[in-house]
Amino acid sequence: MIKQHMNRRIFLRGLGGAVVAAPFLSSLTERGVKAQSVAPKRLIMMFTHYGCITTKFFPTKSHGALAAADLSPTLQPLAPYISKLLIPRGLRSMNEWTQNMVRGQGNDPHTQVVGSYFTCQPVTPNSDNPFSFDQSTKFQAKPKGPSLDHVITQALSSDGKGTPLFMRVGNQSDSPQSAISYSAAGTAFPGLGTPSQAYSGLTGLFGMSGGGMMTNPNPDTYQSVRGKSIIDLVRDDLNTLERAPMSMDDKNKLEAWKALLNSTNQMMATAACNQDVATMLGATQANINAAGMGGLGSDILTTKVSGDLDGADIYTNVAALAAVCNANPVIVLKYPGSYVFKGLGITTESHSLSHRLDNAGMSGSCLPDAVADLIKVDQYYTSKFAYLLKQLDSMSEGDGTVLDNSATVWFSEMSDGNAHNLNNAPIIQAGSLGGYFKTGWTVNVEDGSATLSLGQSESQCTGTGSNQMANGLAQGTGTDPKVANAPINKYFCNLMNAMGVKAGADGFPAKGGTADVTHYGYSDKTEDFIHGGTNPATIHNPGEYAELKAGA
Amino acid sequence: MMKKRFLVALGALSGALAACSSDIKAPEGSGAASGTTGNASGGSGNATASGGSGNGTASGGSGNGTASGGSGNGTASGGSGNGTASGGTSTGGTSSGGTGGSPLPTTCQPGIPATTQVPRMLNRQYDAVIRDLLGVTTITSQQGKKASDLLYADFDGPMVSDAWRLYQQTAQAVVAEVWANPAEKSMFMSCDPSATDCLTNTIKSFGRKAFRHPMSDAEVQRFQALGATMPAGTPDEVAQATLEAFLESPSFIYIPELTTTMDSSGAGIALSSYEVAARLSFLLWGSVPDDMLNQAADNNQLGTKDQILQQATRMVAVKDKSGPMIADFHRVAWAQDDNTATSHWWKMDHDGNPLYQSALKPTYQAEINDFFDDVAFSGGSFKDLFLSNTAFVTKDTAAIYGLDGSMYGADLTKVTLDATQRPGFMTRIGFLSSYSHPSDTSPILRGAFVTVHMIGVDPGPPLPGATMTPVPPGNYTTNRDKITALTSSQDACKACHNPYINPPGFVLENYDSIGKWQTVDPLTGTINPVADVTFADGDVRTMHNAQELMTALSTLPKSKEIYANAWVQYATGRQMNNNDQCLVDQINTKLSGDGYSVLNMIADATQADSFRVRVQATP
Repeated sequence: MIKQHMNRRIFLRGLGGAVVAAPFLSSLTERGVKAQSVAPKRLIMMFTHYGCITTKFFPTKSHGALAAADLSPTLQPLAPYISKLLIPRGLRSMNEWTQNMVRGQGNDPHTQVVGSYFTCQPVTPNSDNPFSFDQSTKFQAKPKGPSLDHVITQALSSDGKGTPLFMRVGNQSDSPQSAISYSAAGTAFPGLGTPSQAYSGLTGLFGMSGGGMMTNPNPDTYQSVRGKSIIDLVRDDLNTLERAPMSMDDKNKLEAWKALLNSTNQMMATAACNQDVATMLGATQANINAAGMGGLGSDILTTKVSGDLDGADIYTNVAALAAVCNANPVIVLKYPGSYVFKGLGITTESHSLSHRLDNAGMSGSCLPDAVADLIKVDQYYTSKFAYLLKQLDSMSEGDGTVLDNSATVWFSEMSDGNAHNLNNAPIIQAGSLGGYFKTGWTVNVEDGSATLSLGQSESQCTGTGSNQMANGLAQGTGTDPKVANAPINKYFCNLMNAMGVKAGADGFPAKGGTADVTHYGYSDKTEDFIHGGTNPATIHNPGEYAELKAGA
Repeated sequence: MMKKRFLVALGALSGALAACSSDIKAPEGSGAASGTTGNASGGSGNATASGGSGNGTASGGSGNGTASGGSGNGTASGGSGNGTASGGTSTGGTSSGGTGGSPLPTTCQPGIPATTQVPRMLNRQYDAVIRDLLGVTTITSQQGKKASDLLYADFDGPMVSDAWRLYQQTAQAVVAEVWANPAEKSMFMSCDPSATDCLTNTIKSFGRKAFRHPMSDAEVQRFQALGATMPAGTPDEVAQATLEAFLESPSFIYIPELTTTMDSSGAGIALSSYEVAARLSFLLWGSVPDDMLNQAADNNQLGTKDQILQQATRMVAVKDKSGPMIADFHRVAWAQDDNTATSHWWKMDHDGNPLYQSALKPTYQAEINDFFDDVAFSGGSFKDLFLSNTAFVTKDTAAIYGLDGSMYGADLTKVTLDATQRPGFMTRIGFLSSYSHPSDTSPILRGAFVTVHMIGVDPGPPLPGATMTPVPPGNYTTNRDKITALTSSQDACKACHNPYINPPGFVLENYDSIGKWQTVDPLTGTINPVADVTFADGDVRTMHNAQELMTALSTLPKSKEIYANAWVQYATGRQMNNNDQCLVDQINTKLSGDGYSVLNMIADATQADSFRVRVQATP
């Protein structure tokens, strides 16, 4: 059993000047490595479904410098990082489902929300009937553009084809009703389901940096040419296929594959990307093997793997290693939907739980302890986020830590899971991304008020008169739609600018652009999504939130 | 019009059902019923109609947009069409469907759908392919996992770096596995790699099977180059590199269709015999052709429907190869056990019940697979999926079926159960324990599954004021009474729950939360399984027990349409379009005839013109 001890900070050798060039080493992956003099920038995202009990979640004040005492009971595990937190308040994500279709499309309370969350694009095909069970509109509709994780990685990769490290924590499959990552319009990006799949990509980077761990094959052996020979064969095969007449879509598939063969790619492996650091982070083969042993229907998230580490923590360890290795500029840990947290003593899946009923799909029996169970889930997620911060903060890098040089952000699908409301979004950021963001603050970007509504999520389905409060259809819970409507698009502009993404003259992110990003998505007004975006793209309030930036 | 009126009648389904319906996914057929035809005008029409009546009874079908052609117009998909593309572009099939773009079709439009020419081998197919080519079923170095557990999830769109990396890593793991097992290695090469021509012969023989066509000289030379490097490899090293290169080749991972000869019908491009062989084997076996099919391809004997059917009939009878596909289709695609957030399968535990073990979920799942395979390979038909009383039990599961566990071992054993108590897959442990609560049944979950996925309800908008409702206080003696009180507390709920959703669940109340037969409710009352089930507009029948319900479902036209639709979508690996609807109609019609077995239906997927003729997608 491997017990992780992380009470000391690991210093990453060489960063800030010692990332070195390495030749192609294996047939597994091919990355160009070149010198750099500044710490890498990273966006590390955690995504959970069904919102939270907002009244127990948000800090007591919505604007101002944060002290540990300001944190809600749910967020207390984040207290050690209080000076590194940035909690943007007053944000709204796009394309909310309502029964009378007043704030978005009429596809589905989840399909359109997850599809639009990071794309800020409508989903297609559109539905103007909020209660239609049409397979294609309710269950298969996909967004009209790529999601933020891809927009950033594509912009920052030399060939424009970079992809994020996207991990589905728990290895549940995503349908359009739960998928958040799209590499292009209508193209879902499933990402990796097991820690092993991600880890095996990182071990290929070990030794690609300084530190004397290079494992070049002997140039006098077949091994030195074997990998390249196979790649040449694959390229030749692709070229042959490509000569046949076929659609552009098919040719693009072949071209994309060829581009991967030619990759001398985008990212720069760091000096600290090695087995020793992996071990210190708990990203070990033993842990990864143990984490992959979940059986059919088992709760692999909360199941202990090694000491206090549970299954979800192993994904986190790999994510932290990926951050250290600088394997991807964007790393996503996406938690599953409709999940039964058996290890927390909960027997109802999380979607039904969010509706305080034993059946989210229709009228169900009241769950008398639903709010208490939901708070347990919120606390569990918080502890996972805190562990992620701990891992990143344990790695010294340049003048700070990996956490400091990153923006690590926890997003949730919605604000209140029962109401499906998207205003008053619960978003927690940690890390200044190399000094770009203000930290140690909660910032109400809507109006600077310190008394923004906490929502009314604690309503319990009791059967004694409060059922109207638990009425999700009529949004009896949630937050008054008149408040907390600052568009999330602008926060995404913040993140893109902080990451170094550039825009074209129109302000939208563009490869080869030179301007700051001021525009993102189809629209920053959720009502524009009604009917699926029939008007030209419009950003009503361009720019980023200056108040979130350092020095503001 | 009958179908449409029925849907109008369903307009008053509980708002919570419609609003938070992630738990239930519409069957393919339900979209056909309301998608294209319903659209905006249909939706508003429904709202008005149902809102006025509030009791879910039929209120006329006028003003509901165009009526769908529905089933029964099963004209053959003739070859006169010009292959106009419709629907989303195909990508070779993924769990997430096509790329969307239009609602599901409702009417047959003769013609050949445009399809990708580089469909990608699905992960379940990869497993079967390396089993058939190399004898590899698990990877020892990877904790005995299947290759599909190592690969990137099935996906739409172009190759991405992680997917490519995992193809490479998996190939290397397979090569190591093969080299550690002489029997597997002999399936790759049957000669000493240092012997003259051994490697070239291996390239030709293995390549014929792996690439599904005779290796061209250029392809052979491409592989021979692996042995012509400087520095040179040993024969064994080159042989290993050769196998790895095969498993990483686009011509292996894709199933290319590159011929350009127009079909004599003028409907599109005729697939070569090799391409037809590949379609046959990947459809029916999820794998590469065997020697007989390869020989038929070599002899150009796959150009007619009869020739294709002859092979298909032979192939579906090979249970070891077609069985996994048949079980996968029925369990995953039709019965919704697809490991998504919306699937209920296997999420429920029943820790307080001594007869149930969460650790046995794989066994419960295997039982369902065996059930579907048994129906198919015993010559069963659609109705047997609902009525067969054949089951498979172990020493640990027998007691749930009222059998003596000591009579059975650890492996699943075929048994015959009481036909009145155990008709079909919905009376087995897997379904009943998944569609339950931990300690009591869920007539709503079970009823919703039957209503949505078997009967084909498409709920319309709720009545104003619909809400999520708690159970009113009361001393209930049955779960049925409790649920009835719950869903009757508001007109908006009872309008749909009482006539549509609840009744099928009530009929299944004779099965407790793990699937054991019960006549007395845990709340002490006597179980009453009698309920009035609505099967279609104006078709309300009193069901007295599960057997009667399953019998009714097995003859229901809509249920057959849903099933046919699911099969065609599974077989084509893409979202349905109007061209595919023609095949659905054909199969649907046959399902109502006598003697049409599941295996007949499987083979019939090969009889559409679109199976041997393709149209290139544009641009």
